[in-house]
Amino acid sequence: MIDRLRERAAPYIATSRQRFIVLITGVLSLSMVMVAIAFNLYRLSGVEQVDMSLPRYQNVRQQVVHDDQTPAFASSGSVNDSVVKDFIAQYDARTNKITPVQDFSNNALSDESLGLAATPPAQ
Amino acid sequence: MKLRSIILVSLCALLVLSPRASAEGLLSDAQLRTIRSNCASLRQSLTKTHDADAVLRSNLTAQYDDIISKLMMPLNNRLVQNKMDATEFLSTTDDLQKKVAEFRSQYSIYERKLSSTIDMDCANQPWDFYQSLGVARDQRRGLGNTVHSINDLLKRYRSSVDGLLPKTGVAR
Repeated sequence: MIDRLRERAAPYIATSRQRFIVLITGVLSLSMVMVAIAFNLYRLSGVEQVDMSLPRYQNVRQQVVHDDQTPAFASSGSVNDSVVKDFIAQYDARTNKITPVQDFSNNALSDESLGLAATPPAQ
Repeated sequence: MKLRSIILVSLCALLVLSPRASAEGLLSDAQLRTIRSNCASLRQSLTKTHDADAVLRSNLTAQYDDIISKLMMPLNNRLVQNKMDATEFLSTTDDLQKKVAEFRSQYSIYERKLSSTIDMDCANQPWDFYQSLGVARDQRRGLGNTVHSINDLLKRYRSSVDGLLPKTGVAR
């Protein structure tokens, strides 16, 4: 009796095993495809270029300034002299941080900086 | 027919050889030797510039975003709510947002170029290396110009704010 039942159940057991394998393979494949898409988006969107958490930025990471504490200027209310003066004070404090900063105009890539300047031939 | 093929071949040769020839023309033998012999230190210098620029880019964009979202936009809203003329403020904010987006995009292109230059084998390809460096240099100069334009827009906005106080004459 038991043997007969086993014989009858055998094809179903095989089918469910196959289904399980297909399920696991499918889930793994799908997750790999999703990871590949996410990684490509990360690279192509340019986020990778500015991702300061990458190991190559380990030495300069501490120079990145995080300023999340400064509150935003109130977007509602009246506009009078004291409000404008307050705004100017906040605005100047912020812009003064960036305008005098050494920008991309310096000659860090010039021949002189890299020691590639052409020297006139010795007389 | 023969003449035509000679012209075609000459044109092809010119197209293929011209970049190298121009770089070669710009580079002296001494410079070529310097690139070949100092390849490792050159790449190290470029890497330092690359990392410093990454920090600069990160700090600048964070500051720009903060100024736009925490200061300019709230003030613009406030002016509109009070039915004051905010045309100049809105226009400057819009220009600034566009310039900051341009800065981001320019930096992305520059970073790719500088990274590919750093990865080049300058000991064996000094001409290509120098040419690529020249392009990165121009792109960096472009970034500098954009930063200057952004600073000008920030000054323009500040002048507009001063205009809100024509009588009090707040000291700049």
